[in-house]
Amino acid sequence: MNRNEESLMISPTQLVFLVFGIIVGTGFITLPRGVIEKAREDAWLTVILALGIALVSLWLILRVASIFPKDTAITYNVKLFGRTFGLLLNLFLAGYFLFFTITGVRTMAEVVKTEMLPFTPLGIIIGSMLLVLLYCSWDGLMPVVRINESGIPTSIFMIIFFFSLAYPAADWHELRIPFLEGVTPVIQSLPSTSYSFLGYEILFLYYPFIFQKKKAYFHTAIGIGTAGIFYTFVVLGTLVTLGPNMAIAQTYPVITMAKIIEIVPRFVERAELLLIILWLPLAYTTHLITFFSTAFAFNNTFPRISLRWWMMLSLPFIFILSMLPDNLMQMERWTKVTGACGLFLLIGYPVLLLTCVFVRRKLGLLPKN
Amino acid sequence: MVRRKISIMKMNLFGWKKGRKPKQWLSREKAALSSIALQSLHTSLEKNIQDITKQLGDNTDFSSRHLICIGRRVTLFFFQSLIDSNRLNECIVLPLQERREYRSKQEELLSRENGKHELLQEIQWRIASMADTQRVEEWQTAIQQLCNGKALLLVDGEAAGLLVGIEKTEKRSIEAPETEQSVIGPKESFVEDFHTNITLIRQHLRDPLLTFEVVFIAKRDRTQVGIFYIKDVTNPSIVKEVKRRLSAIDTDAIKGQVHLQELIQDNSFSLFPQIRPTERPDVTCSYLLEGNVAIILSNSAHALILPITFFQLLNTVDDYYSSWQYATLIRIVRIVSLVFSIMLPGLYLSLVAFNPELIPTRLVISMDAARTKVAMPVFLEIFVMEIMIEVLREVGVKLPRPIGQSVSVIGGLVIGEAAVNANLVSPITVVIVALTAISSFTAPIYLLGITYRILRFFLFLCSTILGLYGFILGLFLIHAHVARLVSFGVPYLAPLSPMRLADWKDTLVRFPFKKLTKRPAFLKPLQQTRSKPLPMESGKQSGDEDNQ
Repeated sequence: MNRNEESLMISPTQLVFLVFGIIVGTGFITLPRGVIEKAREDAWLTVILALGIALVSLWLILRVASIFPKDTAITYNVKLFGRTFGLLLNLFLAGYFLFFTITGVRTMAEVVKTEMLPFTPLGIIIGSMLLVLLYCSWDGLMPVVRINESGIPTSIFMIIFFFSLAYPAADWHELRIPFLEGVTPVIQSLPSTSYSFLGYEILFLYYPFIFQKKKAYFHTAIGIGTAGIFYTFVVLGTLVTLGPNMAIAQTYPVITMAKIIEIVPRFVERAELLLIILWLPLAYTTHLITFFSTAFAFNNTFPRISLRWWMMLSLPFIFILSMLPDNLMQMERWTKVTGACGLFLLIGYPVLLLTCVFVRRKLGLLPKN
Repeated sequence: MVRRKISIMKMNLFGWKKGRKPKQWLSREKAALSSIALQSLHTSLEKNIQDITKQLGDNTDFSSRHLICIGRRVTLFFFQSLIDSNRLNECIVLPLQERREYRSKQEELLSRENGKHELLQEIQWRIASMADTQRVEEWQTAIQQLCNGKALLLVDGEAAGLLVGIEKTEKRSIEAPETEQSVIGPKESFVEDFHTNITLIRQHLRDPLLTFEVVFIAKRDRTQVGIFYIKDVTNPSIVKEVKRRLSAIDTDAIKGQVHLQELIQDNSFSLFPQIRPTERPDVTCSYLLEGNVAIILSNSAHALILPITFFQLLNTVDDYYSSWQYATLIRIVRIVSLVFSIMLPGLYLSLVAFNPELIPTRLVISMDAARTKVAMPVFLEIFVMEIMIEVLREVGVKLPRPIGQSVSVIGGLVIGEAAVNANLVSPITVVIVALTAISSFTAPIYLLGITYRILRFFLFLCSTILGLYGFILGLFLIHAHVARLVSFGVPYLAPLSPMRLADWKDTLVRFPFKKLTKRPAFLKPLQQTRSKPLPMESGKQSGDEDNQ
């Protein structure tokens, strides 16, 4: 019963919070502007559509994973695509999580720098966060899962409470009949919205540890669904309080929206700072899971080097790479590339895997279950 | 892939240390060795006397008595300082002297040295039957028990000895508990005497399935450690793990319960106690009934409860001796004061020094007015005051009780007042520091209070470096640390994580006893149900069934 021998079992509740924890992160701050820019008043519809797509791709991911219930994607990549191509795919997967962490940490650091610590160098903000991540993920998967499970409910509750204070200032006339400008703008903003739903591809890695595999779809769907509702709530809030024109003029509309909140009149002057404080835990859980997944994916690809060493080795890379982009615009480009890779992992990759399974079974190289 | 879960956690670059053994103290399964060699007794009394004198003869308080019983030579060894001399005379010496010569045919047989070796049995059953006796055949147990205050009786011609329990028992009377006081509950606490503590627990819980096992640990001291658990409730894997860890201890002596606690708890570097010490027998029994294991240690007035979770540490005995509404209220107050005592100085510093815009405008104006004459920066101001409070607290503990209390009260008043008047600190800093210090006294157990104090300094340091951001990172670190902890296989944050709503009935709130029908599930007890709901209307049957 040594700590290290603890059995890796993700319970249904833990799965819900794990998925929610990784999805809701930096997207929470960056999402509304991207959506409202194209879809304008229909932005909240886009979010709901993106949620639908996410649920479809979740089905695909779990369909693949259930073929190999005891293996992670790292193992079945090699089984399905052969050693070389499998290794490349594994590196792609690990690299994707690496860049997911990099872009996430940098975006968070930018927000913290502008709103909280204007005179502190970016390196210190990022470096301190990375050290915290290293400590938190040091003991493996279960502590990471437990951190999500015990931390998220409180911060969600507080954020919702906070936003419900913004709603009295809402102007509901900003909304209009859906699809007034046709379906095209809604569809056009779908890919960028889907970036905010990225994260549940961790199931490729953690599916073998899920306790109730048969109900995995249901539980993960609850996690994604909650995140979707939460996003809709935020986008709708931004829309009705700021209006689309105002919203797209801001870097982070959610923060601007928080500025109009007065918790108790003349009590707290800068409510948006309070929002950032409440948002930091959500960003941190996302970084934590992606950071751990990076090390986990690398460790599974190259098991000779232990998980803890992979954490230590990836740390300086994350630090240096996250310091490379000069400004937010450049960072945005990085995020887009990472997001595109994520979209491939969500839809293209499971389809590719399924095809490969199909072909291999036809050729008799893979036993049917 | 799942099977590799153990190896992935090791700090092992390129598999260099593949053959390295796991943590030594955990893997050492063998029982600890005694410092005395394992050697059997000899048939010749002279040889035995020679052996024991060689081992213990240098001790001035080691004595012996040579007697004759039924015509055969008998020698008694004991430590003068450890035995009760009245009982020695009453239980052994006088009965032996009465039977100097043989009286019957059967006794004549016993007197022959080369006859059947039955004299020792005769003494055990008939002559020295007033005291508890134990037959030994090797030196290790014999000498160990001599050191525990027993007398060793050797008979010429027999390769065995008899241990007679005539130890002197010096014990204080049972008093009211000092650190876990209760307004309504029973006023008795454990004492340093092992047997009294066993009696106290048995008196509070007269369950025939309450099992008590003794193990001896530490190779020199051979400390008695008692393990209590309820056979059909406690999860056997916890009991097994406790026994394994106890048997793996290989040290000279155990100095108090904190020593033992540090040796057997999962993470000895953690600030958070993963084992709960308690000085109350009633608390021990209520934990036993939930499915925990209790350990008692000789010469310690505390029982150790394990496994324990963070939320169990926040419960106090009065929660169960008062109405559930009051218990719930006081639990919430305790959580609030936990937040105060850990976070207040750090939060105050980061707000004042880094983000004053989060403080209400009017308050910030008055605070600034009060601070204009203060020369020191805020962090130094708080730090100095915190150190002062710690000094005063230490003084209160170290000085004799009547002086200590008055010195700390007067010191606190004078220093606080004078520091504000001399413009060394601002009044609001004094308020913050005092509020923090008072809040930390609500910690239900003493060890947790210390944890609060250290964490407060940690968060203060984090805020000094990075303001509010550092403060939040510090909170993340503490949260992650607590989430990482596991106490004997039970996650430390249960029932928050792993989440189980049924266990929340007795965590932050306390439901009425009528509703507390289940034992905490995180302990995985053998019997989940502890009580059946009371049928309020006649003829209405309760629907709940035992999970078992």
